[in-house]
Amino acid sequence: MATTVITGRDLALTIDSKTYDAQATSVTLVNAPTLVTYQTIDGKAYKHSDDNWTLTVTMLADWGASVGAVTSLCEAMWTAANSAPNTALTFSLTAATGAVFGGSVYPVFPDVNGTGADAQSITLSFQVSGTPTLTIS
Amino acid sequence: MTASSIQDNVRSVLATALASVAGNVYNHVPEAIIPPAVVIIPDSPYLEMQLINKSAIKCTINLTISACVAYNSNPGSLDNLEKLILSILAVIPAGYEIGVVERPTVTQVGATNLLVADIRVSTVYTQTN
Repeated sequence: MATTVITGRDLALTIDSKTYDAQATSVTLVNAPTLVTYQTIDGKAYKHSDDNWTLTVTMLADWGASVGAVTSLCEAMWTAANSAPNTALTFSLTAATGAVFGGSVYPVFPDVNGTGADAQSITLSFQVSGTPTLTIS
Repeated sequence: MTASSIQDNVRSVLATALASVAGNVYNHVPEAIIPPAVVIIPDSPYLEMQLINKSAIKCTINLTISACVAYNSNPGSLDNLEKLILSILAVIPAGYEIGVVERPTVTQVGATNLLVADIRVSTVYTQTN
């Protein structure tokens, strides 16, 4: 099999039908499984009991960038977290052409930060509802 | 939509913003520099890809703003250069990261000695069309 290399340039991310590609510098979809460990007389035994998925997005802040129908991603997320924090938003994360992860996340308030010398960069850490689906086409 | 270019959408915009400083502003390296002068030139690394996806070219552009004054008397020239640097820093537009100001050096351009200091700036550029 030939070596396959996919990079961040192959990624595409939408949350609540809004494209994050123009602002996002990194995205991570990761699971933190809960494994219960039993110390048996034969040694350790493990039982998978739960999954907890998190979608983390690092992006350039775009406060105040709403123009016409184009809404600032930070402002849209703030509005969603403020008005409907318990309503999950659908997301789609394309890892590479033909490999798309989908699911829903709960909105979070974007943080506000900055240093004197750098572009304002924020990190959004979303709780994923359930387990994402992987669609291979 | 008209296709964007680094020349028109970054360097010329920056040059326009710098037009109010007391010096000749060039958005490229000129054949001859008339001091005091402000010259916008590419830095190294020049273009850095930082954003995800490849449907559009979006990159960080690193530029150097060279502040140049005539090098006639050492204290006078340094004072002139410092004033020029401060006036440049005051008018760099929003959306530009300002890095360090490098140590002034004496540079000979043709028969003229210039005292030059480089200001590192960067911004994000998105190619349209």
